[in-house]
Amino acid sequence: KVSKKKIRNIRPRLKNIDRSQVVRQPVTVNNVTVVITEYMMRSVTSSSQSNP
Amino acid sequence: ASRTNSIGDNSSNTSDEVTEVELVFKPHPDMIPSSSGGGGQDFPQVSQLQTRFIKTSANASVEHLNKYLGMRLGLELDIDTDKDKKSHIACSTWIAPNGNFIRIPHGLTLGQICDKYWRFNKPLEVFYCVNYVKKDEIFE
Repeated sequence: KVSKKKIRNIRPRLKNIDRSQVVRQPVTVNNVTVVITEYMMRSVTSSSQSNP
Repeated sequence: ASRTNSIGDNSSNTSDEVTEVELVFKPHPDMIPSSSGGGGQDFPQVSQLQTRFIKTSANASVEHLNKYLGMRLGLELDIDTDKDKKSHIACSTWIAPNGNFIRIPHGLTLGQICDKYWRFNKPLEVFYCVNYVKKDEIFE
């Protein structure tokens, strides 16, 4: 039985960001174009009603 | 609620084989001036610099990051750097894997940075310095 190992370079992902709102911007340097995606920080909704 | 539209969204998707890197792009703490930045130009205001959360290809180099940051700051801070071609925003990129800040050499890709400097199980953290450079001051 040969177990297939997926060789994937898994890098840690960002947390506490809003992945629904992004800014995508292609950037070209030395004829190499990459798309840079910027995420917004997830807005903290204060749902606690601790104040009397 | 203002939603930022994508700028220059091109529909050409790269292949899934390209590894992507997610990183935190923070202002360099030493860049923060006590009162105002010198050089005659009060730029940038510390409060205007923010931590950015970026995802891009592992093939992206620090020059891509610097160029992107310069473009974004130019837009967000409404700086007409290209108006007269007399000045522009120059960015440098740093990393502090052990608390000591190291300037990332030119030409390194994010994949190489991860392999060389960042062997932690958390998203890559990169710091940026921003300067307002006049045309006479040649950088790079």
